[in-house]
Amino acid sequence: MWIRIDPHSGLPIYLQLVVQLKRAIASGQLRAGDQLPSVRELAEELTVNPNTISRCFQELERDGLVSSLQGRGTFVTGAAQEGEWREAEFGRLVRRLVEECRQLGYGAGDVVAAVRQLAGEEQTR
Amino acid sequence: MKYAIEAKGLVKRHGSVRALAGLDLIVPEGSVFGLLGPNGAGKTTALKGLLGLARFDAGTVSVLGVDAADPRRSLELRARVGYASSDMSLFGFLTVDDHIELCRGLYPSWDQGLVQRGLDLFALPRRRKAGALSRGMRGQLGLILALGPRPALLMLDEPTAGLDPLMRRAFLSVLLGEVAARGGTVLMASHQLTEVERTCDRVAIIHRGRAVASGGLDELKLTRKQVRVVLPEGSDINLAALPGVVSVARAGHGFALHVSDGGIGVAEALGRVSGAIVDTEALTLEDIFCTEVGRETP
Repeated sequence: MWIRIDPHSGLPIYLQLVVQLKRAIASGQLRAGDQLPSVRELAEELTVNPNTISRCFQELERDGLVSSLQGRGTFVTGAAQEGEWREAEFGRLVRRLVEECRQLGYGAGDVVAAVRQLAGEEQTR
Repeated sequence: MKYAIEAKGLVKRHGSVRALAGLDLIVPEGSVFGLLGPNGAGKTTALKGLLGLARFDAGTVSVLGVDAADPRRSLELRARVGYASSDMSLFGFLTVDDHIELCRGLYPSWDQGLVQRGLDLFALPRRRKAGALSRGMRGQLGLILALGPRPALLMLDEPTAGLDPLMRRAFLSVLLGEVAARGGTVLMASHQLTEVERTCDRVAIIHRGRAVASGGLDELKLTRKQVRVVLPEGSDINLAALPGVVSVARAGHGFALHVSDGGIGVAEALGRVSGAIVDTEALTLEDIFCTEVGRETP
């Protein structure tokens, strides 16, 4: 199993699962129509509490990334490929970056300048 | 929500020592509940009382809806509650198979398929006498015997002590698979905090016979945070009095606070103080444990 749990992380395990599954869906490692392992299978495989797995699935379902069909399992929807979700996720990441930089005493303008410089370096490479 | 265990104000004295000093414990049905605490905190005393193996001196306790203090109900309860500890008492002159046959006859709900799975997984020598098993093997057999009757409530005292990491994983995998498939409740006392973080959805930290913190593990991790604060020169803010602050320690020229509200109280209070630097960090269960147990120590 490619999912890795770090119990020492302060991030609750259900959120660690959510982040990794979202990444897998966004990158196309999991595609629309793919079936996720069952709660029991994941609990056994990762030795993680079944309620924690269910909570992760509920979170993904709320975001529209998966849908569960009664008695058949949990499936990846097409939402992640539809751009809207990726845009929202992109917005969240940028906001977090800016917020963390602010705590270090840098404003949004500093972040923009630093990102420009990075982009410049990438172009000359 | 229904509760597998509902205990209020439990007191247990051993001579002049109060092993339990008003312990409250709420274990919802279907949860895997971690009972944490330093040595001598009262974990084993609590488990024994909940099993009906010892009487409490005060308090009320309901286990699976039954008054656990009522000796007339103890047999009924014993049939629905499983128990295993790392120092299980087995019959030294009986083999592994003998133990299984013995228990199988006692419980109508015995699940031989599950027992077989456990035996294969641990590769236990089935014809060896229990007296000749290693400590780890005795623990494994104890676990299999406790799981066999598919109890509605399973109490485990240091279940994976003496197991190597591979066996520990294997055991937890079987246990959690069972919980996922059948929805039983597990209460386990453990010092293995990393393991508890993976497998439990609720915990209680017991210290000096009382629960000093308890609740959902995710909620605990989202609300218990460390906040590092550097105050502007000459500031006389009393950090300990800010909302949500559990403890304050000096850290260089700044402070490290432990908070129980995710850091919101401190952030709001210090947001108005110009020049104050506030940085919120996550805590592990071990950090939370050490704060809770360390802070009452004189």
